[in-house]
Amino acid sequence: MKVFRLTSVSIFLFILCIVENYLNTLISLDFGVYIFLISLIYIGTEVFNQNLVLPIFLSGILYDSFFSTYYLGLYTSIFLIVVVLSNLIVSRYSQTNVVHLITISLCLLIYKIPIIVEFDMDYWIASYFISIFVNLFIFLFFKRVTKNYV
Amino acid sequence: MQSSQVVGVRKYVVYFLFIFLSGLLSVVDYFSNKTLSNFIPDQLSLISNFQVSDRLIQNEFSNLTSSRADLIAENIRLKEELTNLRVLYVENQELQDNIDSYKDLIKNISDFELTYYATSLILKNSTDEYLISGGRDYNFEPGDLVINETGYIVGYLGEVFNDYSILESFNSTNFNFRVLDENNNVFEVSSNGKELIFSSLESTLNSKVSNLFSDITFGHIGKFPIINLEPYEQRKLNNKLTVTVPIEEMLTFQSKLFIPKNK
Repeated sequence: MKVFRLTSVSIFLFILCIVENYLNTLISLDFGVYIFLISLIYIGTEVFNQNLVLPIFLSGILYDSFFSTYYLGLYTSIFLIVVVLSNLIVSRYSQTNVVHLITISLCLLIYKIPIIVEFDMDYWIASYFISIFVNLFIFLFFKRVTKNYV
Repeated sequence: MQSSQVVGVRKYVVYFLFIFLSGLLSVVDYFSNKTLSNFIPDQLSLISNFQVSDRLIQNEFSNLTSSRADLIAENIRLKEELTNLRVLYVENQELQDNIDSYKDLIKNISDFELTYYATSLILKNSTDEYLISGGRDYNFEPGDLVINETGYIVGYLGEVFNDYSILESFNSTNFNFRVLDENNNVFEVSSNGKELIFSSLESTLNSKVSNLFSDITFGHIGKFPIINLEPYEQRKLNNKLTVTVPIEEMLTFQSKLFIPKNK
């Protein structure tokens, strides 16, 4: 049962990751809708536990293998760091909108590190700032929905 | 107080262990020349499995007919026929689109000794790299040119896997390419993600540069145009010509792409 749960959570996270990439390929705008990043932050802030480390690790390994040109493990560690960082912030400060804004800003910065290192600032800075607000809005909306219905 | 801090740190121990493991994998992958990261895509053809097969769509209703009354069976048979017709219609439209794109391509290419493999965008990953269909199953190799339906170069293959490849497009900072102009002057092309930078390698350029082409002297498969530099400002620095061109066209799912290969 535990293996089945771990496998299904891993597959679900990997599918979210693929959907995020498909979505951003489709919209082709100057910002990104990072549903997978939002789900990682949600894991970090709301449902953080040690049982989720393996599914996040496995989805990262799959993403690194199939969709990334970087070395295996880079995105895996980025995903894990995002979860740890978001949990660290909300466990130290109360969950206000400002704290969520800071959390998403920092996590997005880590999530986009390969692009930030590779490209000049003018390539990503505008998209980064717009993405913060778009994804914060989605995150807060998702949080409110889950609070009401779960 | 101290024990609550210990508990706070303890909940991250497993996460830190896995981050360390990921780092270790990166190091092993670096020293094994990416053998580790290529292992899974080499064993599994996952990307081509994303498409729902036509056979599945055609047989959607066929399993339901066995235990129904004749009338219902007939109804289902008709529905099935309609589905088949719809599938045929979609297939016909796709073929029509392919014929149109090939017509455009034929108008613009000069080399008919090559085979042009049609490919398309699968998705754009988090680092803005394009994954395109076709890999080792079509004998694609890193460095193969990728052209659009007007015959212009849009990039080259960076990495090739079983059933998909990664395109080094104009948006990629790894994009590095050599081309010739009509007077056989060599130009180097690089990208900063938003602009393409063309720099001449010769220092005796006097006239304005127009069309640039790939060439077999640089290991390319043939002569394909990349851009016409005439509309852009051409600056001379230390007798070397530099042209900066903003990247405007982005690849989409509708983009028709081709990879020329020897027959």
